[in-house]
Amino acid sequence: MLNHIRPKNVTELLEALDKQYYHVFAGGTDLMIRKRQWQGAERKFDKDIAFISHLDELNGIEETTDSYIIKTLVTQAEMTKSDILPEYLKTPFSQMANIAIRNIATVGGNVVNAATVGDSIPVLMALDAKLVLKNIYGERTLEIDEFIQGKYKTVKKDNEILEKIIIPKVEFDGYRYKKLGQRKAGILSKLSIFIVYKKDNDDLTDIRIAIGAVNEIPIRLKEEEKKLIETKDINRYLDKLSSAINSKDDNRSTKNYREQISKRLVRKYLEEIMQGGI
Amino acid sequence: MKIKDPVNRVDIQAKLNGSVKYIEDMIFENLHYARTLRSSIPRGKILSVAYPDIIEGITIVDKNDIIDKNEVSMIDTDMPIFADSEVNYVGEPIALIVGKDKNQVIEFFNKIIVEYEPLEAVLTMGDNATFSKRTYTKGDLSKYSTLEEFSGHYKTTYQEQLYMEKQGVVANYVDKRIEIYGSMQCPYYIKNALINALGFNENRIRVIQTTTGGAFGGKEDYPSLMACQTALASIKIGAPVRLIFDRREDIIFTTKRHPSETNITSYLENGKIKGMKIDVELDAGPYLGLSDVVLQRAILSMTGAYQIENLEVNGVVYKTNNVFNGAFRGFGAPQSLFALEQHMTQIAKHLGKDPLDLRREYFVQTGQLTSTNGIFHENIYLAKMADKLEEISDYKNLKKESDDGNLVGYGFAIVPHGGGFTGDGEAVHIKAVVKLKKDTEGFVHILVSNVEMGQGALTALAKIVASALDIPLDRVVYKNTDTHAVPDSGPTAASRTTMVIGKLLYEAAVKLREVMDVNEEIIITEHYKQPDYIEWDQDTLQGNAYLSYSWAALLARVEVDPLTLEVSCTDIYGIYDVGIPVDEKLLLGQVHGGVIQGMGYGMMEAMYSDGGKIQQNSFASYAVPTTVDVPNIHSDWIINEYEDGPFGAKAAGELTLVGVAPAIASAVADAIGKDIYEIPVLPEKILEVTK
Repeated sequence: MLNHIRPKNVTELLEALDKQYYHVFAGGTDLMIRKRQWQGAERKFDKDIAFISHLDELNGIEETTDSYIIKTLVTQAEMTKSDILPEYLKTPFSQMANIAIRNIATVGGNVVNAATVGDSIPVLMALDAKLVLKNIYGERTLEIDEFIQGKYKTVKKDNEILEKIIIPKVEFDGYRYKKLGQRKAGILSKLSIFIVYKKDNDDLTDIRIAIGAVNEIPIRLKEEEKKLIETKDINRYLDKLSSAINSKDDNRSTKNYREQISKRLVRKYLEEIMQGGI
Repeated sequence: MKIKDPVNRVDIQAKLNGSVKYIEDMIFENLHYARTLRSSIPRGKILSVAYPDIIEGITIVDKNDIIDKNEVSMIDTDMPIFADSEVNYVGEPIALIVGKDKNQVIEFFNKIIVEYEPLEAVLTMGDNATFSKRTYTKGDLSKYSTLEEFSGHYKTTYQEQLYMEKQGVVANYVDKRIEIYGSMQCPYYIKNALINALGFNENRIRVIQTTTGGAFGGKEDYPSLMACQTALASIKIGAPVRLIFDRREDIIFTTKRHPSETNITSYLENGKIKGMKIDVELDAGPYLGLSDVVLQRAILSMTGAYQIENLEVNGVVYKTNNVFNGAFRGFGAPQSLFALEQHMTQIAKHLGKDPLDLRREYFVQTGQLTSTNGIFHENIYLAKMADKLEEISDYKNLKKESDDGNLVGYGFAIVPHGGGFTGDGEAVHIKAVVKLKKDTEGFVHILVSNVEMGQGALTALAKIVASALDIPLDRVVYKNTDTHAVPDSGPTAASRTTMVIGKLLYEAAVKLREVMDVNEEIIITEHYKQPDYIEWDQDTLQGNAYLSYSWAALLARVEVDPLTLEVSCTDIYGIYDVGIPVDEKLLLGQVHGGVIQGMGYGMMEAMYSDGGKIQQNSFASYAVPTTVDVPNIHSDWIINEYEDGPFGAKAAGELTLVGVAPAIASAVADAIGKDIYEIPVLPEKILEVTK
């Protein structure tokens, strides 16, 4: 027989998680689908469930002088409506899933789920987001690329929760976001491109490029971004990107399309950005 | 009321406010739930089915529970109700697991182990077994065989109906009678399948259609299988049994549009098409189902709106171990018309002609011979429709540029759709009977077996009767079909409901009008009579293939992103000839729905089989258009009254779909400067051809 708990606060949640395994259930938009077996029958949860969507301690968007703090329960819709967050952060969330899902799916859930098609992950990677994981004994802060290890794989321990995401504030001069799917809305990504950059007059001083839904984990080539700023050599960057791409055919798109089109888009955006466009 | 008075759909309020009850909403006492145990391989012998220890309350229903025949009677009886010793496709039903507690059923179900001896599966069309081959000729093609040949090979893949309401039936065995409730198009098909399977006297079988949330052909043949299965289960258990598929189950295992390959060779002389040789292949899956009839519509639609003097047309239906395919709006014509319209577009390009001008040269005309040597007896206004299409689209001034640098293209499709069953099918096979009953309160009841499935039949037929009698619409009563209450007026299929059934009801109403004042119950019965200009030889496929043709002239505008190759269909212009619109809003409903479903078929809805199993199984992977994908739809129609349709109306339901994908594919070809031979035209495909 399965049980569920609805802890009164985060401390109670963490105490419970330290004693046994729970599926931590926030929006549930992915879990409810993955665990279904027959409409009208119970979902096949193999482990007890801890509901957390009522925990205000885990909700809200804040800013400090140098960071945006996104608590784990913030929904995708709340991201897009925030008065605090910059456009480059709101735009990708406005294109995730569909209206109904965005109203209930959480930012934390998308990250912890670590799906290949999780659209928030490339964005957070490009922004050097840090994740604060918490258990009853304390907390640790990880870079998002340390956190995500593969498709549905993270380093989160069973007694930990993702408490919040810290996004360093940077005054970017511009961004590009493109999500490609089989239709214009309500669809999983074939691929997504997210770029933010800073310029000093015409000189590129900072650029972050992340490509989602192509490899199992989004691609970000930090060393090559530095080289790009130094050398302005777009071809070199694209060559490195080519080697990094490791896609495959699936029922949404083909390996060839993902590779060719992500390179085309990155080239177009880099040319625009480096030739002075915004 | 008069036929020209606009009305709102009579069923719309209950559907919008949610008060209407679908099969899944209906309450039955002591209801049992069935789950289908299915084959996991495309072909093999069943060596054993190992069930866990039976728990109380769980019943297995399989081939051992057959009462008379293990056959689902459609046109043939080759499909079993439950697999006997072999399975022939992934998902073939082996048994129903039935119980009152769904959790118990699924727990039991998950522990079943089926062992197979796999046999070699046929997963492609080729030289293997066929269900049927059909051929017809016109003129003498051999005289032209030395001319310049222009050929193309065209392919289409599956399309899923994706009705919002999934397949569902409830069978209830009470007092030695079986009652079937369910979402369906053809109550009498189900009744006949049950008579064959159970060997019951027809009075012991009652089929009641429940409000049907979309069908598109998907509920024409398939519910007969489900009704036979649940009937056997209900008889065994002695309680009502419900079988409703999960969405993924419905997408993967129920009937789809047939994948096709079509080869067209045109013989050209001095820039003129002198003849065509056409070969059409359809993949039926493992059982015949309706596939031979689908093939007939495919090959009989093959020259579309064009007069081709010399023809040889061959069609083959292949038997494979892929999913069992069946009816889907258009019924073979979308495949043919895609091939034909691409071919016409490609010939125009080859000859350096405007694609519409080339088509105009071949428009069929009244009095000419059809492809099967019948005579086009009705008025045909294709040239006028083409003019009107040029006018509403301002074709002469259309621009090939877009503001944001996208590639722009335009594509035409000028297409017919024959109303009603092929050839003399209405007279020989269907023999429709309709009744109108005036009760003592003065209400007029429509008694037909044709169903409302979202297409607007309730409103269309009620409006025809109310207009013929000149009474208010709300004096006409038309309920969900019950075979105990209505005569067999045939299936809800083949765009026949308004044109054929509507006409019979109109005739009945004209007779009833004379006796409306009589203060007692009156029933008027009408039997279908074939118009005397129809001559048809089913063996040679010669004569009038259809009672009449409806027409559509379409122009699609697309934009293709030169970088990502994503296609946006921005505009569809359409001129329609459906005789007269029985109601303008109803016609627009068909136009909008047909455009969207045809657009999905043409450029979005990729569906492929791997190892005999459909790979796209959900709304997330099978991409039907959303509202943001829908183009601007500019439509108009001409009035061209048909003498044997109610108030002059002809068929409209399928016509609005069949030309859309061809027009879009031609538009993409125009935009990218490369010919298109396959739909859906996905960005991935465009990348391959533009490399």
